[in-house]
This record gives sequence, structure tokens and C-alpha cells, in this order.
Amino acid sequence: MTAPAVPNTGGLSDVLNVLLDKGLVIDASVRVSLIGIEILAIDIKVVIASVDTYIRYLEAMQRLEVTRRGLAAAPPAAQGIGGTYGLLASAVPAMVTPAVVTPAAVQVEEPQP
Amino acid sequence: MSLHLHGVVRALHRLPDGSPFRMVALEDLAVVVSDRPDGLALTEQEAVAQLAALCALLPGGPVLPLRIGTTAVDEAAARTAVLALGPPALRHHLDQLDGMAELHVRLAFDEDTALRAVYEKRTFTGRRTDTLAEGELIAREIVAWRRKEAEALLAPVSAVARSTALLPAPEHTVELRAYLLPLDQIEAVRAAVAAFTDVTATCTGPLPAYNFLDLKQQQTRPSSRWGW
Repeated sequence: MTAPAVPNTGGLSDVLNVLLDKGLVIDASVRVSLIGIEILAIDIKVVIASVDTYIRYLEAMQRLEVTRRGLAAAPPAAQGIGGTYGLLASAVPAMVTPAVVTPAAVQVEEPQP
Repeated sequence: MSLHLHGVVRALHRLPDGSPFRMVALEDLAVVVSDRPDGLALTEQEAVAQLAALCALLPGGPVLPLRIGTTAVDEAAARTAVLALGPPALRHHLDQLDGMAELHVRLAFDEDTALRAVYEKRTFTGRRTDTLAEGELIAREIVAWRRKEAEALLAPVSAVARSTALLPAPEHTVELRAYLLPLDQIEAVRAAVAAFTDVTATCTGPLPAYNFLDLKQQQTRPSSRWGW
């Protein structure tokens, strides 16, 4: 059998957290307190519930979405602001329609007096 | 002065030179102990040093690790502890783990790569108002993606391992696994993992089989020569 190398202590320090609650348990024995050791389970809960992490993920997703839309909108680039074409498209006709109607109404009223 | 209890070995086990431990024998078994001044807590450095010393016992034979920080008042109490664990079960465990060791493999994937993969997989709407729910969904997708990637990368390791355990990881993009491997395969697995690209891969071990101490329940039911 090949004798394996003893692991370096740096690596052991990393895995200590996940081994703390493993190993055979003797009911009657006392467990000495462990200082300076973070229980990984607590860290995990913190990460999993981390709002910051979720926001980071969402922002990354939005960036990817913007990039994709930006690429899709690249051919009609003459429209103006690159990457926001999709967002402006619906707003532009809504502003144009009343602008056409209003001056027409004014022109009808003016000749009467 | 009391004792730290570290693990159970066969009484014939020979401690390596310079080991900080000694053995307290009970029939054909022995508990590995070290002296401990009363009233002192165990620091992280001491716990790591004890773990390293316990790992150093592995080439000499199987080691059943006790929970880190276990103590007993004297040698008689240490023997009682071994009896409390049940010598027949301990012997069976030692037989099962003979020539085997645990190896931890940690794969840290790039977060941008993971997010891109998740984005490509499903149509992201961005229209949900519940930020937490959306974030949670993305996190779940990242975990599923990394698990699949790890499964593919580590398939050759799984092939030589007797057993695998998924360990809790500190980040969504980190896969942490424990493998129960033959001692003579450890170096080959280490080399294979070191050759991975596109992922930060590290191995820690050989370790005593902390995550595979329930082998009796898993393996004796279908094919035990004792018929348990």
C-alpha cells in the first residue's frame, strides 16, 4: 500500500468546521468547549438567507438581460439610445398621439370670433 | 489532568514516531488519547493539530474518529467510553474501513459563469416584484447547476470511491463532497482533481472517515456475512 502524504494544516483548518459535529459520540463523556471555531452551519444559514447575495444575483441577471436586449436592438441603432430601445418603444406612440389631436381642435375654434 | 479522546483503533495499531497520542487498550481495541490540563478550552490551532495527528495514524490502520473535543477524566473512564460504544459494532466499523480514508473535494465555481448558465437555462423575466423569492429561485438554480457540473467533473472520482457524501457548503457556487476512497487511490484522485480547469479545486485528506461512520446500517442489510 502506498503511504499517503499527511495533509497540510491549511486544508485541515478549512474542513474543521464540517467535521466538528461528526465522529462517534459517547453519551457519558463531556465535550470540552471549542474557542475560536465558527460552526459552519451558522455561516450557511447566514449566506442562504443573505438578502445581499440575492440582490447581487438579481442585478447580474438584469445586466445579462440588458446585454441580450442590447444585442437584439443593435440593427435599428438609429433610433437613439443603445440598449434601451426596448424600453422606449411603447412610450413613444403614447406621447405622439395626443400631440396630433390637440392642435386640430384649436384650429377649429379660432376663426369663429 | 484529564484526557482528550480522539479515536478508536485496533490494539495492534502502531502509532507513528513523534505522535502526540498514546493508546489505552481494551481487549483487541484501543482508544487514542492525549493528556489535557483541566479547565482549558480547545483552540482552533489545537483542534487542527489534533486532527492532523489523527490523520497521521491512517496509514497504520483504520481509525474511528470520536467527536472533536471529547474528554474523559481518566483511563478507566476512557475504557468505559469504548465499552459504551459497543465493541462488536466498533470491530465491524474498523473492518469496513480497513484500507479506506475520507477525502474532501471542494470545487469553487466562478459566480459569473454560474449566473450566465442559469440565465441561459430559463427565461428571466425580471418582472417579479418579490425580490427575495426571485433571488432564492436564482440561488436554487445555481446550486442545481453546480451540482450537475460537479457530478460530471467528479464522475471518475465517484467511480473509484466506495461512498460519497454531499457536505454543506458555505456558498451557492461551492460544491463540497466527501469521498470514501481506498488509501492507495488518494494520490491519483488528488492529481486528477488538480488537473481540473475552469474551477478552483482543492482536496483535503486523507482524513478518518468522519462522514461514513454509519456504514453498518448502509451495507450490512443487503449482503452481510453475519446476516445482520
